[in-house]
Amino acid sequence: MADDQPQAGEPGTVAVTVDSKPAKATYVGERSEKQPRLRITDLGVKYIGRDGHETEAVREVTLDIVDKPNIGEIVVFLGPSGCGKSTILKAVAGLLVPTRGEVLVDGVPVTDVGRDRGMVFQAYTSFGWLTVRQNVEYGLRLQGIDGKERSKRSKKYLEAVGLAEFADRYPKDLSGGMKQRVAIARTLINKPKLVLMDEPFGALDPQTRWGMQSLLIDVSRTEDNTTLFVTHDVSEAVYLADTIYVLAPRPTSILHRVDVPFFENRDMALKSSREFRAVEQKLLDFLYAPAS
Amino acid sequence: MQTALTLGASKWQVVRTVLLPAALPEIFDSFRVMNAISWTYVILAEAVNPEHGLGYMVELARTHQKASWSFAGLIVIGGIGLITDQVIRMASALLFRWKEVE
Repeated sequence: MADDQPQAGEPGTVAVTVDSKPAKATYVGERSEKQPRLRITDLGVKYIGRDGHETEAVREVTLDIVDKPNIGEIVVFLGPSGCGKSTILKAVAGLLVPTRGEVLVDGVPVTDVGRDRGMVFQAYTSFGWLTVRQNVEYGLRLQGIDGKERSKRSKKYLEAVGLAEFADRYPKDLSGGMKQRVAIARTLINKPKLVLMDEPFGALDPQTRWGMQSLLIDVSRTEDNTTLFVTHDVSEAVYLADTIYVLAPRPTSILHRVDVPFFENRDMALKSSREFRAVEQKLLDFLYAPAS
Repeated sequence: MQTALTLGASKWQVVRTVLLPAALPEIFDSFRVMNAISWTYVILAEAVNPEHGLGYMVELARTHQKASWSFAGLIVIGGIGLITDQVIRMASALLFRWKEVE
């Protein structure tokens, strides 16, 4: 059996290509020849705290993410908790202005928040006064799309995230996992080019979390977008990602880039396969060995 | 709020579709508290009212030592206060069905 051919449905035979370099930074800011979906150049973010101290959250982050056509691929930012991972997402979303550097989406500089970049947060952000359906339709309503068209589109996404029966309930009746599904549907219905997810499953119990991970993969595969997913959970990163960027703690910079090649095959059994474990181990080494 | 912004809401739309609905229940709660406070002022105003009204009746009955009339007046005043309070409470429960019960 060819080593470089990912075999669908057989986790035991899936090939993993992780270069075995020492655990110092191996990443150099790569530039793609094609116009990337997202291009970040020398991004730096500094905060001035209330005590007047300057904190550097992000330093010299440079990356290109090229959109794979017709498929929603997932790019994971993996790094220890409390590092500036979310700060990068916020800069991409346009929620904060970077101290230096530039963020381009399809060649256009990010200057403000925009519908083309949807964000899902760790905290549950459902609008409590709206039903599940109204929550999902929120973005469409802002655009002035009429009710018939809205319910047609929301139906599709409510079904995709398995909330069709709960469409007329209020968020208070939902579990944490369901609230996050509302948030995912509400973001995807806007057809953003980039979906920014900031530890969206961080507050969920492991079982729900696994379910949500498969759901995210299934839903993303049918959309032509690119998901940037921030997490500190190594297993989650390997399971979801097509590409993983391993980040250093404050100030956040990119240490490594790891391509995860088992693309078609994401069933749960994958998680206990030797290859999966090998990538996990590699990432753990990257994370916990000091970068020299 | 940040969510609304990333979903394409303008600043004004954020105020209208997020801040206002989120604040309404509390505004309504304050309204109920103010209703209770205002009611005590109504009684005070009634008590010094020299011509007619419930407070005048209570005052008159007191000076004429008609305790039953006095109490009847007080109960009616209290009853109206309770009813308005309940009406506001019910309206709030109806309007804010989506709210989590603490």
